[in-house]
Amino acid sequence: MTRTGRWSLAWWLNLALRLVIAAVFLYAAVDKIAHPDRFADIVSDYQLLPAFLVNPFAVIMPWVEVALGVWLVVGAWTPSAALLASGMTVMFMAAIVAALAIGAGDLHCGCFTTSQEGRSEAWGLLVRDAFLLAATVWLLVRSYRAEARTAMAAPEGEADAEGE
Amino acid sequence: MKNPFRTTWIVLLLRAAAIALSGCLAGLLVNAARPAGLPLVLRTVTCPGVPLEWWAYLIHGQTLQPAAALWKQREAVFVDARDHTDYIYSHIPGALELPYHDYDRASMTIHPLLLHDDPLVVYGDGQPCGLALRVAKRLQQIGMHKVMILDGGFPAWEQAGLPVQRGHQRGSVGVTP
Repeated sequence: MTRTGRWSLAWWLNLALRLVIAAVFLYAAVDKIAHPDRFADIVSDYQLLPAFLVNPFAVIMPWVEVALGVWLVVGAWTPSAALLASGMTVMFMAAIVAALAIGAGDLHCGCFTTSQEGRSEAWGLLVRDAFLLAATVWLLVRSYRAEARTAMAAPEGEADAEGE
Repeated sequence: MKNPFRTTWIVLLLRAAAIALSGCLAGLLVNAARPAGLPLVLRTVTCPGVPLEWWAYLIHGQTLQPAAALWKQREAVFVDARDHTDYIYSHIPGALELPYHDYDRASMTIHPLLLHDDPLVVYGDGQPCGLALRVAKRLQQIGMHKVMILDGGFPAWEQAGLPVQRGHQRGSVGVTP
C-alpha cells in the first residue's frame, strides 16, 4: 500500500470530499427540478440574464448539478467534475456579487430551495460559497495530480487512467 | 517522454464539457416530457417562469374599470401580492394580503379561506411579469381556476382615484353570489 494508493488516508479524504461536494450539488438540484417555474422567478430576480435566457437556464442548470453530482459519486472523471463544480461555484459567487452591486443585498439566493422563506444576506452566501469553492478546488488539484501521476507511471498507451 | 499534465488538461476540459452537456440534455428531455415544462422560447408566453398550460388559464389584462365593477359588486376576491409594508401603507379595501415574498407563511392562512370557484383578482406593484403574476401562478397551482391579474396593479388603481384603505385592517373573504 502506497501513501497515495487505494485505502490510504489520502484516498479516504478524497472520497469524503467527493461525496460531500456531490451531496451539496445533488441536494441543491432537487427543489429546483421540482419547481422549475419558481426557480425561473428567482433567476429573474438576479436581473443578470435577459428574459429569453431565463427559462433555458432554469431548465438546464439543476440538471448540470445532478450530472456532476452523479459523476462525483461514481468517481469517474473526478478532476473534470471537480473543475465543473469549481466553475459553477465561481458563477454562483459572481451572481451574488452582481446582485450586491445592483443593491439587492438581501436576496433569495435560490441555492437550495425555491421557497421565498429564509432570505439570506449576500455576504453570508459568499462566505458559504467560498468554502464550497475551496473544497472543489482542493479536490480538483488532488485528483488531477493523482491522475497525472497514474498517467506517468503507466506504460505508453495505457496513460488514459481514471482518477483516484 | 511526453508531459502527462499537458495531455490530461485537454482531456480534463473535454470531460468537464461532456458532463455539462449530459446535464443539459437531461434537463431538456425532462422539461419536454413533463406536463408543465417551461417554454424555452418566449413567444406565446411572454414572461419567464410560466408554463404554457398555466399561461393559457390565466386571465390576463383585467383592466381597471371591469375590475372596479367586480370590486364594487363583490363579485371577486382581491388579492394583494405586494410586501407587507406596502399593504399596510395602502391597499384596495377588502383585499387579502398574500405577499409573494412571504408566500409560504401567508398562504397557510389564506388558502383555506378560498373556494376553487372564487374569481380572484390579483394585483401587485404594476410591474409586468412581477409579483401579481407569480402569486397568480401559485394560486393556480392549488386549483383556483378563475385567476385574473389587474393591469397596472395597485398604482393604476390608486391613480384612477378608486378607493384605497390604509392601515392594518385585513381583507374579508367571500364573494356575493
